[in-house]
Amino acid sequence: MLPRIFAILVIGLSLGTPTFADDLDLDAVRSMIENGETRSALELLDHEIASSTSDSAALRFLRARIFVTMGDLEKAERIYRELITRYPARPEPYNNLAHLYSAQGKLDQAASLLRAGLYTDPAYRALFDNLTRIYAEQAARSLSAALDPEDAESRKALPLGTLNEIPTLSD
Amino acid sequence: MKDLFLKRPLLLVFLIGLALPSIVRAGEESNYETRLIASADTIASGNWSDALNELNSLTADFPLSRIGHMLKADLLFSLSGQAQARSADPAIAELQKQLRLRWSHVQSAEAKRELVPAKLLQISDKAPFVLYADLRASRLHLFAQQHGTLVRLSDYYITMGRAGAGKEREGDLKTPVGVYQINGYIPGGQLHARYGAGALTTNYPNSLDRFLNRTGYGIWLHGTEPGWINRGPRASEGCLTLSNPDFEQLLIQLGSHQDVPVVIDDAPRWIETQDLHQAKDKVLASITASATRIAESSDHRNVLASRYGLDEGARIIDLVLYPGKQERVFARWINASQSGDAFSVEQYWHPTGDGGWEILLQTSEPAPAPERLTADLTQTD
Repeated sequence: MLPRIFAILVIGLSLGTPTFADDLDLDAVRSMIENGETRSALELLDHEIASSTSDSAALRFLRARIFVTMGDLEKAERIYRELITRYPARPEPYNNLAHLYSAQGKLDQAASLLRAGLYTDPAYRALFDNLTRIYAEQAARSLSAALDPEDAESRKALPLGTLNEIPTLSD
Repeated sequence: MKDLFLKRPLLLVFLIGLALPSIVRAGEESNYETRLIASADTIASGNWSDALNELNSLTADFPLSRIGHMLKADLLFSLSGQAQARSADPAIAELQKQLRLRWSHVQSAEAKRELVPAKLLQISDKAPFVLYADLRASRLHLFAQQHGTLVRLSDYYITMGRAGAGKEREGDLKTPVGVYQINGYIPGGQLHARYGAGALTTNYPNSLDRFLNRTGYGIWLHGTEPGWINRGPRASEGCLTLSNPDFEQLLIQLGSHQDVPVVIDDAPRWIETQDLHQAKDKVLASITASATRIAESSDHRNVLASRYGLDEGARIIDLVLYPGKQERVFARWINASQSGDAFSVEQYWHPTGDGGWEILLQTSEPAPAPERLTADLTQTD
C-alpha cells in the first residue's frame, strides 16, 4: 500500500509546477509530509488556502495528496473531483484520480479519466486520437495476418480512410 | 585448401561470415517456441512496450506465425481502446488452443524435467532412442537411453487427428494409441506438399491392432504444409505432425537409427525414475510369474508358448503399460540363446481380475534386416 502511495506522490509531484504564494515554504510542507507530520502539513495548507488570494488549485492538489498518504482515499477522491470540476483544463487531477480508480480495479473509469486528461490540450488530444487510430489499424492488420499471413490482398482491403481524418493543428 | 586459408585468413573469416546467417537462422528457428512464449509472458507482465517490440521482432523473423500476429492484434486492440475486438473466427480459437497448450508445457517443463513416462517400464537397451507422444499435452518427447534410464533430449509441439485419440477404423480421423515403431523415412520431396519436410512411417496397425480388427494405415510423423509453421492441436487425419524445422531437427537427432519405438499415449502419467524402477520390478515379476506358470501348466496355451519357442533363459527386453482404455501390458521377449537379433516374441497381456495376468495375444516377429532409416540429408530429392 505504502509504496504505491509514494509512487502516486512521485507522479503527482512531477506533474506541473504549482505557483505558491510567496510566504508558504513548499519545501517545509514536503518535508512535513515525508516525516509523517501530516496533521501539521494539513493545518498549514488549510490556513494558506483560506487566506491566500492566489490560485489555490495547486494547494488543494497538495492537500489531496496528503490525504492519500494518510490513507483517506475518499477525501482525496472528493478533492480531485472538485478540482476537475473547478479547473477542468488542468490535466493533473485527472491523472491522480485515475490512479486511485486503477488501484480500486476500476480500470475502465481510470482509462476514461486519463483520456479526458489528455483531451485538456488540443494538441495532445490530436496526438492521442491519431495514435489510437494507428494502433487500431495495426491491430486489424495483425488480426488479418493471424487468419492468413500470406494473403496480402486481405490486408490491403482494410480501410485506410480513417487516417485521412487527422486534423490539422493550428499554430 | 588449408594453405589458402593460412595465407589469406581474411578469406576464411569471410566464408565463415557467409555461413553464419544460416547457423544463426537455424538457432532462431529452434528458438521459435521460446520467443513466442516469452512474448506472451511479457504481455502477461503488463510491459506492453517491450511486448510489442518482441512481437514485431518475432513476426518479422517468422512471418507465418499466426499466433504471433494474433498476440500482436490483441495487444494493439487493447492499446487502441478496443479491448472487445476479439475475433469470433474459429481459426482464432484454434490459435488460442495451440498457444494455451504450448504455454502450459513451457510453464511445467522445469518441474517435469526429471520425470519420465510412467508407462515405459522398460525399453530394450538396443534402442538408443524412444519417442513418446503425449496426446493430452500435444507434445512429442524424444528420450535417449542411458544405462537403462530414459534421459530427456528434446520435445516438440505436435498436432494429432481431428477426431481425437483411439483410432479404430480407416477414415475415422483419429490418432491411434499404443506401442509402435518408426519403420521408414520418406523425404518431403517425394511426398505431397502437405507432408512438409518429410515423413517417418509407423507400423500402425500393429499386431494388437490387427488382432482387434482395427483398420486404417498411413499413420506417420510428418512435417507441415507450406504456409504454416504449426497447425492447431487437432488438425490432422490421424498423423502426428510437427513444424518443418522441428521435424528436420528430429531427423538429425535420430540419425540413421532404425526401429525407434514410438509410444502414443492419450492419458500420460509422469513419475520419478526411481518410482519407475519400482513399478517395473513389480510388473516384471508379475508377468514373468504368469509366463512361467503358463509354460509349466498343462493348459492349452502352453502350446502357444512352446510353438514360439521361448526357452528357459528368455528375458523381457521391452515392457510397457499399454496405452488405451483397456488395462494391458506389452512385453517383448528374446531368447537367451539368440546369437544374432533374429527373433523376438511380442505378448499382449491383460489382467485376469484376481491379480494375475493372461496372454491376450502372442506373436513372433523376425527382426527386420537393418536398413538406413534416414536418407543422407544432403542428397537432393
